[in-house]
Amino acid sequence: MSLTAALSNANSSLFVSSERTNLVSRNIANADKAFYTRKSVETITMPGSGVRTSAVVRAEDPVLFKKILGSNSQTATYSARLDSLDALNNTISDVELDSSPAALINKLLSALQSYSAQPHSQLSAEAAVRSARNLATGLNTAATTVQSVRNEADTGIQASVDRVNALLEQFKTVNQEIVKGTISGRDVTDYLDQRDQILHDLSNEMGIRTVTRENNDMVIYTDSGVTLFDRSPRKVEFDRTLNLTPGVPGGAVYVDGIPVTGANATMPLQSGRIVGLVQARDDISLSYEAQLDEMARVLVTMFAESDQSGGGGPDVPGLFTYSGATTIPAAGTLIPGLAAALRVNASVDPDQGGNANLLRDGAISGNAGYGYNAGSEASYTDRIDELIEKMGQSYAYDPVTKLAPNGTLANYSSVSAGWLQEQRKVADDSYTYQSTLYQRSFEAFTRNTGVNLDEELSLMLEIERSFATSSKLIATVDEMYNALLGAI
Amino acid sequence: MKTSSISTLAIINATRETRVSLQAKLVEAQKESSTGRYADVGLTLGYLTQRTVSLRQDLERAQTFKDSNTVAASRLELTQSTLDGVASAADEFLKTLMAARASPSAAGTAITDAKNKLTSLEAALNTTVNGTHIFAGVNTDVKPITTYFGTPASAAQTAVAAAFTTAFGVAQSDPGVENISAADMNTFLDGAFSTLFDNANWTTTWSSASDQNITSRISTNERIETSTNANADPFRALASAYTMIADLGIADLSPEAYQAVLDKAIEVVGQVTSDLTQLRAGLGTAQERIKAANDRMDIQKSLLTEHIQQLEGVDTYEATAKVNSLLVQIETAYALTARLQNLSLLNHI
Repeated sequence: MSLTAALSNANSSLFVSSERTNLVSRNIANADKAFYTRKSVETITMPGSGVRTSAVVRAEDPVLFKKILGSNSQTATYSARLDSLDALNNTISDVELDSSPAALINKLLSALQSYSAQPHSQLSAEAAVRSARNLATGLNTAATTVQSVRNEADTGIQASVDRVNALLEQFKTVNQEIVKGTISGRDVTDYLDQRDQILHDLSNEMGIRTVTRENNDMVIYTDSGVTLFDRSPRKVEFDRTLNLTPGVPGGAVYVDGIPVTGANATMPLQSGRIVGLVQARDDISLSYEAQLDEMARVLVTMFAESDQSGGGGPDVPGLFTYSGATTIPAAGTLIPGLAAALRVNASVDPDQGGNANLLRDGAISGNAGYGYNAGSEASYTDRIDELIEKMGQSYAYDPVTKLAPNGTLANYSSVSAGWLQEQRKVADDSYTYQSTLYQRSFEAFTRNTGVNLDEELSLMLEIERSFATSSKLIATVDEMYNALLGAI
Repeated sequence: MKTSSISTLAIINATRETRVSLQAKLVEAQKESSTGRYADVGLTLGYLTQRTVSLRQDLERAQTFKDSNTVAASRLELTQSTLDGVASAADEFLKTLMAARASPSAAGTAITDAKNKLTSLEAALNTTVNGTHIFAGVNTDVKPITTYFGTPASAAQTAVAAAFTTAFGVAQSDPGVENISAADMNTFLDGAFSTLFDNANWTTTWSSASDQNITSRISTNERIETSTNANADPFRALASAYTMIADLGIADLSPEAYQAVLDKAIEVVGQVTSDLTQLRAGLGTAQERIKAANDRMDIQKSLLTEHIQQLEGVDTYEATAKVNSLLVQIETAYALTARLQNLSLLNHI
């Protein structure tokens, strides 16, 4: 009988409407979630017996999603690098503030020049020693800053590795649900969203590539090709050093037992926060630290005293020295950690009970044979002028510092400042580029897969109409039945 | 299924990102317009930072040279004016000597004058500036000249007395000096007396000054002597002339010996005048070089400042214009955000 069929059809329409209402409300509820994709169902006509809903479909854009993952990893790399470089930049700050090692070296030179003009003046001598102490302290602070940047990066790598492991565990649970759901034909779209969110978070820590297999099962590789997840998560480990030694690279990160960072990495990671942090810890910081160490070493050499007694004794550290110093360090060879250990000799430092005039007279080392001012003359300038001349001479620097191997200390220190700023500029440019790329991909992605509230509302209206009409139909059929039954 | 090309989240994110980036730019532009320099010089210049750092080093060095050169310049200036006094005293003394030579009765006046002139020479050579003795060479913390007519008698005075007694067998104050012949006197003046004023004896009996003059670095490559010392020839010669007249008992000498002493003194003082001029010319050269160096520093400083400005500076007009346009943009972004918030189908059904 067709009336029954009409009732059944209207009924199926009501059912479909409620199903669609459910989806609309799900969409509206999640409209502000970043990786929520718009869900929809299609209405399928069942010939002769009304309509039903198809399985829930999510709006997808796998190509853009891959782009997001890639640019997210790159952004994280440069962001970590830039953060560390900004911290290192505290050692230089604005050039106008004259707080960089280069400016402090120049201030010492100026103080010596003033001292040379009035060598009899105790105040002038003390001012020169004070600026030497400022320089030593400045280099100490800079070295400490570098070490703390390195230690922070190391802590950051540990946190990153912990996060990767936690995310992989979550991924395992979600992935299992998806595989099981897909096999049994359940709606797994929300789980797929969750999985995307996890992948996005994971790509922030390290670059990844994914492969989807049958039943929506997913395998994750690092961007260098090491398996990160294949049915079960692989162990990501980090060999953390609690206090990094100056001049020595930190520990490596291992995925599934394979080193993916450091010099021994056979399949090194290409991008992600971990890569940026490792670069900051081992590459940039070590070079900059070596530059500071070289400045300290050259200062010790420059201010060394030679034997004036004719005894032919070896040169000894003068104004600048470091703990355990007995001889002058070999030329052109880096001594890691020297910048942190550099200090002004106590015998010339008035604050430590020393005599600032030794800067003019020599014998700072305490050996009378190394005295320059034999006549103890108050306006003796030969030694001071010799020091000024030495500050203008060219010295050899260890090539590991990545700067020119020869030049005056003033030039070397300003090149070092330029080097750091160039690193910052490059990292900042790359960061700006990658983060814009990320923002644009993300925008395009949400644009294509996200929820538009207005659209959902209009859909709502449509459903409402359909629901109302179906209800009306049922009521009409009911009336018709009533009329029919009344007539009997 | 994709039916819309814009999601609500994308709209919200877009307005938010615009506001954030505009505000960040505004902070930078504001800083640049108020300081006239890039907001982050290092980040903007990159490796060029090396250049501005080294320009700043040069600038500070130029300023330091200018500051330190004032010390040398003021020492030289004072030395010059002191020498001026010494020279005119020598000229006056020459006149006194001429007068005394013509009339031996004026010997007393000459002796008094010589004593006064000796004292003022000593005072001149002991001049201090800023706590340093400017005629002491590098040995600036020691008073260079000991007073000749001091109590007890100075080493110099004792030495002169001893030499006189050795040569003539009598002390200067002994009336027996009238028996000294002019020839003997000449021999004494050219011999034993003159030896007392050679450099070796002078530095032991008269002077504690160092032969080494103070040297100053007046620019990166110039190191010059910027003082003289009390051991220089004209000072020794002048001291010997004053001593001849003041302390050889000339009032009691025979007229011939008296003439010999005065002739010698006139000869010595005459020589001193030209030597002093030479000394002052040398110091004048040093002054000239300091002035030239300072002028160079001034030019360098203004060039360096200009270069630094070129590297680090921004066009303040441009920066101000940027601030204004950013403000307009931000306001537009705010208005748009508010409008977008109201733009919902919900308001119309």
